[in-house]
Amino acid sequence: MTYPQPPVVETITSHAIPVQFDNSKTENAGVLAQLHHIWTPDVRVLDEGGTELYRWDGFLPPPEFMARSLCGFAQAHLRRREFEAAEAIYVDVLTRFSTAYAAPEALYYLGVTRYRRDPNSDELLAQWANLRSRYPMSEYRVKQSFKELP
Amino acid sequence: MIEWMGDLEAARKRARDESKFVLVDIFNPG
Repeated sequence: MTYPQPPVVETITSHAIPVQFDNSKTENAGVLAQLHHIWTPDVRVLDEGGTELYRWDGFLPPPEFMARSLCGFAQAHLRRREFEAAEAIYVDVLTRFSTAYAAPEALYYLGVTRYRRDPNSDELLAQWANLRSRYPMSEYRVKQSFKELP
Repeated sequence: MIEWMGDLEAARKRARDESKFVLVDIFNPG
């Protein structure tokens, strides 16, 4: 349902090489053990060395999949300290998928990305203030809530 | 259509060559 949609194809192939494994086939047992697979759909973002940089389980319809996978690619860039690439993707998520479940994560890490790029910037607290305003019921609001303590 | 690869090592090599990540999808046909 999700993968045949052209915008989903574009989202995946513009950032990643797609590889797929059927967990019912014995020939895949080795790679599934290597990845500590437990549930499907099981989606990972790996770097070229095979290091896992992002993961999630469970079905997502196309818009939610696109937002979630973009957050994955952004997080992968961020963990490699490729701040400009990460920032561009987080901004894209917030522009095109502002109501997606992944959007609060994008806003939380947009602040982190800009702070890591420039620790003298006030972008961390600025974006987290946006997060409190735009997504007050999200888990990511809780993750920054220590900043709300008196 | 997504042209899924079936070999993780080959996908990693392509990712290196094309400066991309690898997206792994593990599914159950049932």
